[in-house]
Amino acid sequence: MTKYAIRRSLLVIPTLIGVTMVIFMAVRFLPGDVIDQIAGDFGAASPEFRQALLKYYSLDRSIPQQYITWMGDIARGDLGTSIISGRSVGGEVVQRLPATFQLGLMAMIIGLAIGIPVGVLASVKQDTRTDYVARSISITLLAIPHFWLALLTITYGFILFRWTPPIRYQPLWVDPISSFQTLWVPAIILSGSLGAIVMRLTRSTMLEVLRQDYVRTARAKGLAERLVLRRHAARNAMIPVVTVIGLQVPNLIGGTVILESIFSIPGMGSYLFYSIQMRDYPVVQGVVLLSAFAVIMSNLIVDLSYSLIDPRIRYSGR
Amino acid sequence: MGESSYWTAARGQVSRRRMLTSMGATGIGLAGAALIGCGGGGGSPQATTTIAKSGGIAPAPQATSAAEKPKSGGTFRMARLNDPPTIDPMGNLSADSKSFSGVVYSRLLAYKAGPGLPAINFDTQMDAAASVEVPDPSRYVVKLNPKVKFTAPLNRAMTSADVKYSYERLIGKAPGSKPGPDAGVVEAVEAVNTPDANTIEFKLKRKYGAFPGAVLADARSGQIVPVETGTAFNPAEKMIGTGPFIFEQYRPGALGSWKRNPDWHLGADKPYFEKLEQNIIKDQAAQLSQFLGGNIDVIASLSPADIQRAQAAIKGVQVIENPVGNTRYIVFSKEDLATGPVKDVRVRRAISMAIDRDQMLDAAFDLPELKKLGITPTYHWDTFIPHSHEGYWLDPKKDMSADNAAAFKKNIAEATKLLAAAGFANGFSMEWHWTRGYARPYQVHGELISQMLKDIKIDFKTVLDDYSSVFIPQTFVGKFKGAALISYTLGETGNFVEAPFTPGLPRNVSGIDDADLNKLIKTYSEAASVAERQKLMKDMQELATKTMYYVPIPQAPSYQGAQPNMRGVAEYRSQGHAASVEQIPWWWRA
Repeated sequence: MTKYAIRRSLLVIPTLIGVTMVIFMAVRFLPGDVIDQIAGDFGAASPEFRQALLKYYSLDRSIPQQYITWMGDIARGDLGTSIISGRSVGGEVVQRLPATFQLGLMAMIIGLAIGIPVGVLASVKQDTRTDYVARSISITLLAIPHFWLALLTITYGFILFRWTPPIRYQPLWVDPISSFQTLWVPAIILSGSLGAIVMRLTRSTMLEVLRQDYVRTARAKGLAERLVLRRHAARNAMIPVVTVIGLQVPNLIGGTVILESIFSIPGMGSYLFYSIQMRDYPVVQGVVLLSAFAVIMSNLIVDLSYSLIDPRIRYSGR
Repeated sequence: MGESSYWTAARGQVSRRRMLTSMGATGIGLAGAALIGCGGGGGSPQATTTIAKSGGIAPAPQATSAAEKPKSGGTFRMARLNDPPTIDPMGNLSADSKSFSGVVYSRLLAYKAGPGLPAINFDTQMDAAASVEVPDPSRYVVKLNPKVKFTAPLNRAMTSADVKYSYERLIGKAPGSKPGPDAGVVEAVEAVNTPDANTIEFKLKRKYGAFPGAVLADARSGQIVPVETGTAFNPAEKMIGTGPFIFEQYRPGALGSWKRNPDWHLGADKPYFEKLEQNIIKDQAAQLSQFLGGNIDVIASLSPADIQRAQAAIKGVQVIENPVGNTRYIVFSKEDLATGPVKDVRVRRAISMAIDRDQMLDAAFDLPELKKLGITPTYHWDTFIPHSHEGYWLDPKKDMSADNAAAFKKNIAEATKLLAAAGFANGFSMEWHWTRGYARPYQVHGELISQMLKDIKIDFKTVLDDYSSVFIPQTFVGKFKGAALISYTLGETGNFVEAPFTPGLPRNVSGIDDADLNKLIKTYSEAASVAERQKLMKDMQELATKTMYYVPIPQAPSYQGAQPNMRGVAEYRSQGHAASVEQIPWWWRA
């Protein structure tokens, strides 16, 4: 197990290097560039003006030179400076990451807290009214776009209850109550689709597991149904569920742009979205790199968690 | 200093020139865009909604502003739809940047605003300047007001070195500065000389009658930063200025906050608000919800449905009209104007005559819905300048020569005849570029124009340009084929003809080089008197209509809402970059 963990962790390094190359090139393949965005029409009409800006931002150097410089900065822990705002990307990320992380975590907790038990319940009560209701709700939650639900909440929240979300997000350590007041509604909305996916997957894997011989054996031994479900069925059914949860991490990081806008949450999604529009290379590179790192790490954690969930899986001997 | 003394105390009033600095391309007047305000609701609700008309003159029910004594204190909480791209006033073209920094950095001159004055007003008054002398129309000598002081930690008076440094930083000549995207605004300046610490001489390349309003008061070129910028502080993260507010913090995506500058040179009792907060709320529905909940004081861009909701939820809500401040044209590519069907002026006039301008206004701006709410919007057929430029604008329905007036009226039969005479009886087709990057009225115009031109067999084949990657870097600067729908947000009135018609300027996207127009533009630029410029501008509109290189598309006003207890919002307005100085310091909460 230890060997596997080390080997698996070391693989993160070449993956990240590959990711940096892809990110660096991809952002430059986008049509238009950051100089177009800041030069304005006067700049666009004057090649000299444009050239001066390119030189000022060192964008007149070759792509490999720019890449090496960026990698050097990354190695020193410097994500660079935004060309558009002139502010440090790292500083901006430090300000915004907590909001995104908190929103994602709250959504994840809510989604799992509802999705897994309901999935188990639906599988145990297969083809009953409970199952039908659970499946219908999950399909509905999957079908409803977040932004629509958010706009309805904002609009009818005031009309029906005179409710408005707090005017701005406060970090958890500054004002925990206000922080939760801002995030609980978007977290519930965001958790809807995650919970629905988890519920449906949990139900189907549970149904599969419940038909296995070892479950029948457990029941034949006279174990209580609750124990059979918890110890023998649910634990085995969780492996694909955990995989899917890991795959949802990027959605939680990047899929919050509209919710951030509607609920005035200064998160990473809106920062990245705006920066892509502006072709702000240092920001896009830095934020995507961090997101990629988060995804790689979540996949690593998921991989390593398999053996904890299922004792049959032993990587150490391989 | 009493409220009335602010504008009257300033010496050496310079040219009373009407000017407009840009309005947001979203159709929000910058007065609104800059001041999408917030604040604590409450207050004593009035019985009915009040509607302030274009021009900033509040109707009778709102006359409380004049009768009541302003109260000091409280926090004025605004909301903005966008973060400023940067808080460095010279770092970006964006009006969001200019208005964010505009409450901190003074200009030499400000636009005149106040009761009875229109929101689009290019008359200038002193801000950081004490006087402006004009030895000749190509030389302007400015004396600084000795009371103008940079706040802590600088704690010193503004000097001519700061003004010169700001100019050099704008054009990228100051050490460590990059070429500023607004450098073109000061293109007429040949040199900035500083004979002493209190005097600045602007030597111009040519006679420029509109210079004070077009350059010194314009926030794109006028905001004065201290010489310590970039060394004592990072202008992308901090602002230290001489304006009505002292910068406290900016948390991107969340909040910008300021406190009042007790030593502001334009009045110790102003700003009335103790604090200013600009909340970033990027969704209009969320902004409306916060406004209805009383959490923000002012909101921009109210649709008729929004107005209806606001009227139902807030007794006595103020609805304030923001006049049109920008122009919109059908423009043609250089190639098409030189060699295509639109080379023939009859074809261009036929296109104009196929446009039903009234229908376009109704559809794009929901005018029938507004009227149902009891609001009578102020709208006209814009020409090459917005109709809100009173005294300069020539009404095609009343004032224009008969031949040119006909070019603005929908007349399919005459348009068809013109096309046939030009050899295009069966019409023609061309690419039609527009973008989804602007607000709804623009998009409605984009769709309607191609439909209307079908009546004369002209097939505008829609090409939807991506805003960031195609429209702004290419179409907007003339790199396109066929025709395009372009909105111009420009400075004072003269800019509206100088920029799109002067050969070599970037906004002359069609490459127009017309000797008669060039002569008129030059004469206009040099003219010193308002009356002379007004007359020349009318001549210009006649000539521009006759040649119809661009086809003007009319626009209607937008509306902002203010809580019932807000005072001064309708009276103190100025639609221009960094209008903040002319507005917020004069607002208060009853």
